[in-house]
Amino acid sequence: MNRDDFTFRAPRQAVRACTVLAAIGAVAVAAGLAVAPTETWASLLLVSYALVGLSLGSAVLIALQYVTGAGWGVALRRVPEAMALALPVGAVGILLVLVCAPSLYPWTSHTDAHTGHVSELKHLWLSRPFFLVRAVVYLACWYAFILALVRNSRRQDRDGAVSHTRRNVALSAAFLVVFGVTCWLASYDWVMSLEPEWYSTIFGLYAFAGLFLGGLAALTLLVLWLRRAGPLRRVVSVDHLHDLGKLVFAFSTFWVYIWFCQYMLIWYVNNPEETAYYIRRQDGAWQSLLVLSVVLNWGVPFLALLSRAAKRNAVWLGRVCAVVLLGQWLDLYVLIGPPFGQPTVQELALQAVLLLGAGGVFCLAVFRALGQAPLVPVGDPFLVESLPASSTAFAGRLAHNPGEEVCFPVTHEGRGGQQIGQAHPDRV
Amino acid sequence: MNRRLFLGTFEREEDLLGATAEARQQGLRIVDVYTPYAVHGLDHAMGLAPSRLGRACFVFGLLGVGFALWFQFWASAVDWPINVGGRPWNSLPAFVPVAFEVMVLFAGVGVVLSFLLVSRLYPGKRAVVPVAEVTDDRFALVLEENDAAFDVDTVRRLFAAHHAVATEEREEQDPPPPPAPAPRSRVRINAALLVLLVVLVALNWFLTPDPGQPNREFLPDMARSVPYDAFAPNPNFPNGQTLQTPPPGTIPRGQLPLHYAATPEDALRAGRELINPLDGKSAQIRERGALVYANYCLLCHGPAGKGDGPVAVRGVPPPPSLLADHALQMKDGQLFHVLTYGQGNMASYASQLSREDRWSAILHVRALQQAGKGQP
Repeated sequence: MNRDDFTFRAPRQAVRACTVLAAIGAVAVAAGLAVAPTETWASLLLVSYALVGLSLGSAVLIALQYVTGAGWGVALRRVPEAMALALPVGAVGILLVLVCAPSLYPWTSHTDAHTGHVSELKHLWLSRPFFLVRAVVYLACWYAFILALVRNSRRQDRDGAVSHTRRNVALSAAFLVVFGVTCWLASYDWVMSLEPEWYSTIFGLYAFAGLFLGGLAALTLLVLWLRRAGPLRRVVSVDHLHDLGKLVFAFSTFWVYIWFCQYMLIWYVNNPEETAYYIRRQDGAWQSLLVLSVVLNWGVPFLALLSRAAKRNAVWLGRVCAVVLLGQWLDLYVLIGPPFGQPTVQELALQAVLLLGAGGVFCLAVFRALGQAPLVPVGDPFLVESLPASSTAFAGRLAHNPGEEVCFPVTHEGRGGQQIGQAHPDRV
Repeated sequence: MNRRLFLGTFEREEDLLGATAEARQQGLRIVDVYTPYAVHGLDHAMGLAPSRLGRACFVFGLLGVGFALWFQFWASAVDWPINVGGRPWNSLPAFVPVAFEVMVLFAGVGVVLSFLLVSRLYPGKRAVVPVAEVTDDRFALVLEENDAAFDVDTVRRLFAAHHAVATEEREEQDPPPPPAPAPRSRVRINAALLVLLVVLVALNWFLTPDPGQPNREFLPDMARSVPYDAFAPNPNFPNGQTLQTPPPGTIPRGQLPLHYAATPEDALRAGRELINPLDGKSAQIRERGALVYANYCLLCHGPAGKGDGPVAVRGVPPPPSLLADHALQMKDGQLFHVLTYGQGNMASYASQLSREDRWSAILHVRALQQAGKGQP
């Protein structure tokens, strides 16, 4: 067993396909900007925000696992790490939109009649320089935390020191606090201020629920692909899929819970400033899309993943995750699209091309990150706990022959012991 | 008949899992496995069928949702409809939170009760602990001699191969001996609980508050509001009252003043000045007029306005016919004055009929006069 088995080399066809998609996407952006700039910028904002969400969702999952001392996901951790490292792809898109297309945000033009109702405090908060500085701060902050977490994790591959895990636990705790505030504010800035008179205090939580659900679905799809394509075949067991399925199921339900919290309060209070948001989204084609988004994000995964067998079925789980990802895109479209009018076929086509293109760039970035380190964090003291018990190639040999050519630290404490403190000292 | 049991005690979870899986592969009968906590994968190693509690949970949840939705629909749309801000009586968004909570309640309580029932964990059930250490840090696998081919050495080898720290052979009566009486400590606890219950009931009986006294208030913010009550003294106004006299000339919302007195002169003046704001072109107004006439006028004036209504026939002085010349010559405004203030034996109908209804009744009277032209 040596670490070469866990080197990831992206399949040539996949790289080629992603490159072609990225090129098509770039052409589509250029063409779109020439023909319909506003719609194109809005689409670019949507796609970039979605990609940032995927990266952030992965980063939050990593941090949560460190903070809670979860062992089950350690074997898969390189996958969310790679997705988190792809943050710059979406970040560049967001910054491009914020810098080049201020006209998306009605509050930037003070002559606009819209701003008449916006309060003084909002005027102070939504001033353009402050707005841009904030965006840079959020993105830089997230990326710094991600880089630090991944760097420690990769260093641990070489020396297997427990101190890296300890450091990452502390970093993760700090990241979760910082993320809680910045995610909230960023969603207010980038999405909610598209309609500055409207406000919803739960919006940040709603944004988090969406990005975490999307991140989990994308992560699951990637894990399934790596499992089928080879490198993670012996590492990812059905129990891991079961756990991922449970998370997707749980956060799909969490998402609809938050969605409904926002909807019901606005419906019940019937306050004109707030209902305007849903009235716009119940107009014409938007109404069907609004309903469809709830069906795809919750209705389908809830019913499809309710049973234990469904969560343990790789094909089924993959399909549901694809539906959830589509649903997350639709949810963002219903969030961002309505201020720019009714959906049109051209707009949807542009969205589809942009989405594929951006997805291509994102996948290339993920492939690159996956290739930089072994696909399994071979130095992590929790790894043994995460590996499938049935996988005799690992666990059986590791547990009793720690002196062999083995690159995993071994604990004899079993579950609930003090794994971190008692990682095996004479590991190779 | 007695049965022979073999107990293997293990120190580590992995050994227990390995031994259990192997025992099952060799066709040994596993009586049970005892662990200090739930061990992942043990159900699989023992070859247990997947739990059916999940399905029970789903059914209970569906029951909860169905019941809550039906009950809310029945309560707020059928039995006691209350207008809440103009929302429909059957408003699904408002029902969702309660339906959700009831679903959780039904599913949670239902699945726990099903579990207790299926596992036969009735109150008073005695725990079976083969080795005291399994409540601390040991795992025990209990096998049973199931047929003649049963080989004790195989079992011993199996236990040894998986690092068993102790192996033990036991004879057990089948059926097992009746359980020993409850230990005295438990009797004492039950007695203490019973006494406590009696004391609480007694206290509740004796400390019942005086119904003549107001209840104690907890967080009285909702009951005692900050604003002044309508008739409370108020230092903020010069006259010291909260409820202020309206300025002269104020009229209530939705009410129009009528500048006529209840005199024959003003009836004539009303005839000159007022005209019927309604006309008979709208079928709806005509129907309304007919309805008002039928409900309020017909009793005395009769279906055709001849003064032969059911009441007049039975002894109440009959009113003059509406088809008489005198009535034909009365202007609409004059009729309105009559309806509003009364005339002769006829009382005022102002409190029963809105202005629109009075005018619509007048329209109907005109229609009756038109129909009865030329008759006496």
